[in-house]
Amino acid sequence: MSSMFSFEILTISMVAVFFLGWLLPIIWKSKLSINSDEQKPTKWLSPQAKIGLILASLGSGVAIFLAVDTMLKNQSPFLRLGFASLQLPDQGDRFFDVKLTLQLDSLARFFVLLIAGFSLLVAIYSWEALRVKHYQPYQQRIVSAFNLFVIATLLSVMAADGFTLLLSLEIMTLAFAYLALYKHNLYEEPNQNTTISNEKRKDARLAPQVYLMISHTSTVLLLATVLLLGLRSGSLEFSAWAGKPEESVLESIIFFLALAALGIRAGLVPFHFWVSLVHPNSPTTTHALSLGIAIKVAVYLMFRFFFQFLVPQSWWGGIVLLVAVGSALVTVWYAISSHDLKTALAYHSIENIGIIVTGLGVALIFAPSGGIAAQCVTLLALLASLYHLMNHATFKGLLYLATGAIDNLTHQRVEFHYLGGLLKLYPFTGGMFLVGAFAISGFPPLNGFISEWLMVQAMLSGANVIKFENDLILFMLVCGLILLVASFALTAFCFYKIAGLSLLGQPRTSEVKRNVEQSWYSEDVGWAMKAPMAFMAGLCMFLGLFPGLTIPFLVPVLGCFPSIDSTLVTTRLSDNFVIQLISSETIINLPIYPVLAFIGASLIITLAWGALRGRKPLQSRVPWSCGSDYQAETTQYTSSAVSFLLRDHLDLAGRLLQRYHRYLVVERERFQSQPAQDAQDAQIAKDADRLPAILSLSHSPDNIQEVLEVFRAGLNVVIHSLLRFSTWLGEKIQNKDIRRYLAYIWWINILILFLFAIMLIDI
Amino acid sequence: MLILLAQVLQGLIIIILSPGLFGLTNWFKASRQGRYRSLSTVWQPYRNLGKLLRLPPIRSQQSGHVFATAPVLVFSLYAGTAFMIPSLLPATLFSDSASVFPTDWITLVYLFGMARFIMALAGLDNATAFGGLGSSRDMFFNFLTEVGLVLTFTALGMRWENTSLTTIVQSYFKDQNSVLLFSPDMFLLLPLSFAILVIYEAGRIPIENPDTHLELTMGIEAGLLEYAGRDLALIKAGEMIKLTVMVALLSHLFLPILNFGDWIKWTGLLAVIAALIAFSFKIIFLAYLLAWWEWRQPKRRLRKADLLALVSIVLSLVAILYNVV
Repeated sequence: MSSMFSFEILTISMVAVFFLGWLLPIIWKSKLSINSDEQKPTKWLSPQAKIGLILASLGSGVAIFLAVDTMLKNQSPFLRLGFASLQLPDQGDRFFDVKLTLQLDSLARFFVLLIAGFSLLVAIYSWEALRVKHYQPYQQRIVSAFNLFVIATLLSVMAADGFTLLLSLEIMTLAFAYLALYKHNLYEEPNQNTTISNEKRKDARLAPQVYLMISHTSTVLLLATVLLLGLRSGSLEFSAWAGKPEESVLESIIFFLALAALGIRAGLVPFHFWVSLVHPNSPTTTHALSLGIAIKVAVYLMFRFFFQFLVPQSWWGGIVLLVAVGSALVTVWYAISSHDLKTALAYHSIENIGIIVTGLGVALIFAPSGGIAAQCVTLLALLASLYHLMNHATFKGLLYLATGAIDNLTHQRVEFHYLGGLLKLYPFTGGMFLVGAFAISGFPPLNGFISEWLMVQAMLSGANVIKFENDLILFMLVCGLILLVASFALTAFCFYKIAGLSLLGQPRTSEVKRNVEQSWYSEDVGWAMKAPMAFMAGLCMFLGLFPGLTIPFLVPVLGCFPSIDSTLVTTRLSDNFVIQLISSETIINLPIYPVLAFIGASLIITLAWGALRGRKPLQSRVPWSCGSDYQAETTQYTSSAVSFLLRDHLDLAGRLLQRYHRYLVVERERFQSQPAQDAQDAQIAKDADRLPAILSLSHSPDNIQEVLEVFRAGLNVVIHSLLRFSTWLGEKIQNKDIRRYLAYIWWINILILFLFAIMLIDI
Repeated sequence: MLILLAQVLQGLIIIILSPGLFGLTNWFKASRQGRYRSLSTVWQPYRNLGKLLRLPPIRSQQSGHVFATAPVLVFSLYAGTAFMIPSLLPATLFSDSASVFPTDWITLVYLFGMARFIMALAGLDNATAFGGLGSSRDMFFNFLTEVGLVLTFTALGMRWENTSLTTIVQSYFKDQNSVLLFSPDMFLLLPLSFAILVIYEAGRIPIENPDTHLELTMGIEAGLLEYAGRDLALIKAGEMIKLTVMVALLSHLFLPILNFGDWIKWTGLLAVIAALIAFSFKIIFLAYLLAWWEWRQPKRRLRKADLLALVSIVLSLVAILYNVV
């Protein structure tokens, strides 16, 4: 029995199932071709896609079984798929041996459980969601790429050596780039209606390119990190990488390389723009997995690298904290000024990643100091981080599943000005979205509140612990707290806007009504889409109401990190609902139940009084609109109007860049109107022609942003300047003069001789 | 059990007296402005609420479920916060007991935020232009006040090393010599900072005018235009409770200098009576201050309204710095 369900067999069968699910749907061609539109029914799922989804569910089931089984047995199994022929017997484990090693320690188990659970839900959801018209030609491709993406994500979390890690991350990148091609394929279909604006087409074309470039930049940096770690320990295996308590420059170099690599992959500022560009262009069905959990593989690696492979240093923590909090604030602001449901949610995912990484930063600050109070703060911050990670996966998963349903119900028009009044039209989907919005805004009794509460508590306790010791760190913590709370408050604003504009009021265009009439669904979406949403909403409630039941499962995860004493929590975890991390400085209990009881009591009393004594509500026909005729399409507040106050106060950088852009445009026009006087003038005219295209900001309603994406534009400016500089340098170096080239050869000869001389002296 | 009873009783008293405090502020304001006033000015909010409660709510066809359920939710949330404020009675009765009713300020801030969030959603759900106008402004103010509140409470929490409101109030009683109470941050900076936030949270004059009838100058009041009857009564009552809770917090946490309990070492019923008298005096004094401030101040332009919140944030930061250095 035990041999049949051993870790090796289960893992290999899981990989095999997912690979089968990847290969089958693309090899076995569907009989219906892409362009024969008239044969197809309105809702249809090809048998190949069905098989692919079943295989994905099966594989996820095996992964969940693996995680739960090892958790119950409290094992950390290890698997090595070595290429034995490459391994020379006398030299042992050499640095460059090619082998695949997998492990399931408590941290990996936690992530495997999350990823596999989500892929199972998404597979069930896709069974219904992929049937509609705009997915029909792409069903098989989406399903096969989905399978590959899931297994790559699972393997990257289970990887136990640098090579496996890089390999699986690379597979993940390719699988997701394939998914990100979806919108481009859809827009460039020959019989597609022509209402899609050029900006959207361009974004859809750019999405896979930008994703590949960004994640390969990240991979290059990660490769450097992995090689440095490997050189330090002489092996590529994680078990050999455990950090030694020494403060060398090498440690810091490894840390910054890892931070850059993982920060780019996780989308921290200033590299957040790729998320909002790439994710909205992938199929909405996979969002719950790709943005809900797969983007957090980078955060998982941060946990591993910062706390397991390196020994934390305080000043790293300060930098991580500021970057994370800055990311949270900047991206939530961009989320507020988005016109598009999917873009806003994509930006907002980075806000949450910022919050999670904030916890990491606080933990890094306090991990090196030895006192018991500091250790408690570290633990609290890490717990808050893990809890928020889980919460974000839950409520953002719920929001994305609901967005997918909205996407299908409204024929893929998810811009705010095409939505409105969805709660009345589709009570279930709308209600689920509303639950997600409340959870993500951090309101009790849903789960967002718990982790935000823990995070604020961790920062306050940290400030209390450090307050007479280190002014700089205290200053950082207080600044971090201000920015973090600002981003919490802006999250509420953001979801007031998102939920309010899409769900409440009346439809904002007549197109919504037409879509409802021509809907693919009779009432709301089918059970296969409803069930995962309901499950997620239930999970949001559970995690919010019973943190005391959840935290004991999170504590063993912290046991992975050698520099952290997780026994501190286990000994002090007392009641069901009271977490007590008691030291002289940090006294914490979770005081939510009595308040909820009072609120519930007054709710019941008010409702009962209204039902017993109050008179029935009257219904008037139209709302008052200053005496003029009421028109729902024109009188309601628009998305730009809602976010106007914030944009008007904060868009300084955007205004500056726009001014720069206007200056460039004026220059260009000046040079175009009059002929160039001399060579220098001609050069300037040529430069002005090479304007970064991204700097243009049109106010068309199809534009997804109300404000300039400053960082993307800034990066463009940097790249353009580099291009100009290198052109100039190249023209200087290669000036087509034979004497110059002879001189180069001469100097290189001298250099080689010089090097030889040094080597000779050395010997 | 006794603590719980005392807490419930105190919450109920605050809920019942809150329209009276609102009326008292109006009375003071009328007296400053030289308008006609009588004792009925104080009772007027009760009469208004009673009449509105008897009337049926009117809801338009365009509005949805959120619009219909928001008043009950908002009222319950504010009523719930009334039970959360650091208890007057237990703190004096059982100043030594460590385990009291757990109330922390992070939850309080989030509950206020939740009530505003629901009101703002209801503003968008009534499908008018004024709803969106009022609620987007209100959410902007919510952004400012949430940061301000957290920072002010952080300064207080760092001073007394706790996030529990009850424990902070207890530490005032334990601080026998009142040394900490007379330091500039407790005496000047934090009360000022929190008073500004009271004005924001309660929607008083430089930010918003509760008596206005011009929709374009309104904040969340513009979102209430569509409400009538019982719904309106619940929301109005909720806002009055919020004003009272904020003023009570100001008097209890930020002006502990006037809490009699720490000067007079009385115990038992006598201490309760003394504390109650002190509490009422402070509340009335603060209501007068609010009326005086409203009499002095013009309504600010919306774009200039965030300056006051900045002042509050800076004051709290200075208080934190004073704590540390």
